[in-house]
Amino acid sequence: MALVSRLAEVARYHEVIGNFVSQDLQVRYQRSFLGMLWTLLKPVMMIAILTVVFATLLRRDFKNFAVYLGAGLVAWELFSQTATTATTSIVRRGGPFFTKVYLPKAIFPFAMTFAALLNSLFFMAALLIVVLALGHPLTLWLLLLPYAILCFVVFCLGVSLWLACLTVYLRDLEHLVDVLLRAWFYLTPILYPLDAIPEKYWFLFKLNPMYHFVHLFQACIYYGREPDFLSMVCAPAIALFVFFSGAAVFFWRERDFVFLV
Amino acid sequence: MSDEPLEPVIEVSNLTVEFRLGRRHGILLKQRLANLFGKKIVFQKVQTVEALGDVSFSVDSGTVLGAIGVNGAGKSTLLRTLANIIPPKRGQVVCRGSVVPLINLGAGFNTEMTGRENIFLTAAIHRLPRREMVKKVDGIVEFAELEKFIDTPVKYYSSGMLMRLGFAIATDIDPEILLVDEVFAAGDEFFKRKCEARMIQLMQRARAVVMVSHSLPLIQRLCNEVLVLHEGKLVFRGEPDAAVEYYLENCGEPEKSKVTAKASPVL
Repeated sequence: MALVSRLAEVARYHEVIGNFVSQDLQVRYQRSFLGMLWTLLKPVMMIAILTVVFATLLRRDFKNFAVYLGAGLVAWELFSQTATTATTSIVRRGGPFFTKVYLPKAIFPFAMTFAALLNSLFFMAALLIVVLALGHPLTLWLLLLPYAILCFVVFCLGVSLWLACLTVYLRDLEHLVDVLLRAWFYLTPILYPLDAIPEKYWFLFKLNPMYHFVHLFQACIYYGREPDFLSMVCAPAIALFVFFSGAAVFFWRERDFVFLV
Repeated sequence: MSDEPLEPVIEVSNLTVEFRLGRRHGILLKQRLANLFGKKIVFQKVQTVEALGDVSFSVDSGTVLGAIGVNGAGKSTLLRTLANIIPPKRGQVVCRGSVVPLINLGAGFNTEMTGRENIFLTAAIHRLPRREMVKKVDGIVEFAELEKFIDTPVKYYSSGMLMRLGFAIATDIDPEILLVDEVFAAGDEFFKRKCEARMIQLMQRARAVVMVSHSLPLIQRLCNEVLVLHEGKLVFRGEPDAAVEYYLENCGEPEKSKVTAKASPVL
């Protein structure tokens, strides 16, 4: 119950979180010529480049590969931005505040995750442009997308609480996470479909929590069909587990942070 | 007010605060890992220093409490613990009412953002609703004398400008409990006078004030009760004049200090 009251306190600071999120966005684009337009341009360019490279490289007969790629990539980008910014959220971003003013520590990883979410919403808008441009058919299963996003954001919040807290004790994580993310990206079916893997290894891929979230996104956006039942169930279960365990660990250790950062 | 609660506004009981000395990062974890793999590498034990030891007091409504003591006596630590910035090792702090610490003015500033945006950020950090702040902005800007610069990012501000803005924002929030750490010195003589007047107004509106200062005349003038801290211990509590006298007599040079030798100080 202490956990719930701590989370409620974080919610009461939503104005500060909102402020950090908009700061993040402003600072990122304020000096550039095209400004906020980059939030749309960047994903479109990324999808284009990866499509050109991998569609030719893999030589697979893949209809609208760009859409398939984009659907997985939008989820991945949210995850990887969350993970990399979370590692520094307490030690760099929060640190300067801790000795000067009282703030609930968890607002920093939360703000980082929401900033990443905002970015991925732009990414989705860009993806929509790609979908329309290619004339990829969308189905009513797209209505499941908010469910996929919700599960995924809860998962990301949990991951960022875990990483923010652990990095206080092990600064190396900041660099380690970068490397691990790269490996993890290739182990998740984003650039290739699961069908490209022999079926006897599928169970290994399904042990990867990211598989289930990515699958939900791909099913809603690209395939336009019902996602696997396993992923429908696994996604929220993993999300809740990671979130509550992360919150428990974070709130258990947060008293220490002011001495350690 | 007729229904003034009888409970003290601030209650501090058996408060102990410890700080770690030296390099603080990761030593413990590395140590544990090394031990886990059988190598008994002996790392330097983490040394701690007791910044506050077993301090207890309470502050009633209407009190302006001063805290004096030599450098390192624990005055600022006390204030920060009251502001919930530093968690106590042992003991308890209860503050009944909203707390605004005037410590490190301009603490939450984001240098990339304009002065105006920082006003809203600081207000949010102190949990003031945006609607209320919208009404106050002009007053703050005028007081800080920054009309021309308020829409410029604060990274271009001079330290004086930053301090004025910080002071103007912090003193525009009406707290029930006000914590003040040496914030009277900002800007030129005229601005200083303006600040002091505003400070005194603010103190009168607050239910309780705790202030820390090295300026003894200021303490004597503004406070109606004073604590003397020495090496983390509360050694005297009483009338301002008596406290200042006690402080000057007993807290001077370490060798001559009679305070630490005494088993039970005056309380």
